[in-house]
Amino acid sequence: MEKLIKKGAEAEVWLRSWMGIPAVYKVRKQRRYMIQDLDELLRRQRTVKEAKILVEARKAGIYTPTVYFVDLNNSTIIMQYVKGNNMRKLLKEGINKPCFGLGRILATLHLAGIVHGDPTTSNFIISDSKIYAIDFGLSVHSSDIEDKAVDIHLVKEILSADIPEMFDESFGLVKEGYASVAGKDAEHIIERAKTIELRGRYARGQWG
Amino acid sequence: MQGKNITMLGIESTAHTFGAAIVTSEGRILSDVKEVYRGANGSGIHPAEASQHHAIYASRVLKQALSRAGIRMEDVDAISYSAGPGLGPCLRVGAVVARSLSSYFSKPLVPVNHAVGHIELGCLLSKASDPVCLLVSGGHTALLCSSMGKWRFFGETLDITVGQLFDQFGRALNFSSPCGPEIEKLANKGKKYIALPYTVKGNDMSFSGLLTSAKRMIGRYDVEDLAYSLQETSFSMLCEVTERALAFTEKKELLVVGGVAANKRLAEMLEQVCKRQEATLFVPPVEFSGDCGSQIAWVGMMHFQNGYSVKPEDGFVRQRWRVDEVQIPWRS
Repeated sequence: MEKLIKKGAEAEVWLRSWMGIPAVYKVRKQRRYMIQDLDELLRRQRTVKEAKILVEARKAGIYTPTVYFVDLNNSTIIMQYVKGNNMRKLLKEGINKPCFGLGRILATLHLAGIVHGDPTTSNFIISDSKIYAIDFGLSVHSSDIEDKAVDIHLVKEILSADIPEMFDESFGLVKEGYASVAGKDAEHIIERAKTIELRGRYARGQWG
Repeated sequence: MQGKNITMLGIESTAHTFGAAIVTSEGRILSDVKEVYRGANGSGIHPAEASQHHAIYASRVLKQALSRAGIRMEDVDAISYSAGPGLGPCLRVGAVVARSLSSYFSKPLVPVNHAVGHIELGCLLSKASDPVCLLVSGGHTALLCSSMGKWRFFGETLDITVGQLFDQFGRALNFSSPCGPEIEKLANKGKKYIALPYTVKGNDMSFSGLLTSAKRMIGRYDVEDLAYSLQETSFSMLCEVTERALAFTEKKELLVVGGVAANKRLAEMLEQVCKRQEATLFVPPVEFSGDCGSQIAWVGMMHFQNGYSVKPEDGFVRQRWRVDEVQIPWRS
């Protein structure tokens, strides 16, 4: 059994057998457009970071694939295969209810001092009505409001680019989900996300 | 208007370049003339000086654009100008010229967003139809895709642009803006990679920490190695985010426009990104990747053919004007 599930920007994701069970092999392949030193540094850093935070995030109370093995020499993480659809696909089909869950997940991570760093909609998998968070390669340990707010800003950015027709409602659900866990802090963090957006090139204000 | 081949005068005046071009509705560029302001060594664009430069060169550039196209002002069907975003004093020169011509010759006036100009002229000249667009210049560093009648931000810099990164680093070495070509020359001679901050956050990037670090290293490291490392680090960030955009959207075209698109190393890296994602790279000719009148004339033409123009007294300028505020009816 061997199947390429996804060819992402950074890594190839294979479904392969590991110790007799089906597993996902996430392989960070060499990027020849970068000079070798930089590429190797990034792949190593991100592989370590991702493996560690997959485990920590689970301890914080969210669903992540179980890590089976890390092969640093090949920048590979072997982990549990989670069968399901990614959130982007569902959103494209007009289903935006999981946005609430996305907000909850981010808030749960933030409370545990973890900032996802790449909360794009394709990094959440819906499986048996549970939402799994994946792709922690850009995650950081931080309790800084600025870092948390960048997570929110990134979600907003991808929703407004990818599903403009459902943006308002979908981002509203993210904010509600976030506030349902983060409570009063949510207000400050969402306010900071607005500041980040206003720092953007040629921005003039107005934010929903 | 349909069916008839019409001509548009476009006036560019957002920053260092004053340009004028004549473009037809078939997308032919009949002429494109420009004059570029340069500040003193070690300094950037002084807005007042740049606007004076534009005012001095405006009539000469206009006359040349008309004579090279072989037409008179009376033959032009409409006039478009860069209404923003950009430096206020510079924008006003272009707007004043455009409004005056519009009023005197009774021609329709079309305000144009400069960034949309880069993207749409890039599409016209490179024949990209529905690309992911990397817009990388002194004013912008962003990845954009069009949907529902707008160019929308997929990812963007969180602080300064790559053009600013190169300009500010170059100025610390006593070059004058735009410094990109000088940095590229230096970088070509660099050999040793010096590690610099690499900051990608999701689909966004940050270059300010990179600038601070690189500037601090001036004097302590070989300047060619520094330029090389600065270019490699910033371009790797651009390429990573670009590859993410291609993988996420599953689009098969990549268009790169803006002043920094003229850099050969960037084009070479993006070519490899495209190979990995089985996409095609579209690069407009180098003389049209930076600021020019044609970008304004062409978008002006598209707006005009979709029924948009304003009265001379309504010809606005807008220093802050994001790409995703502009309705693009021809891409809905």
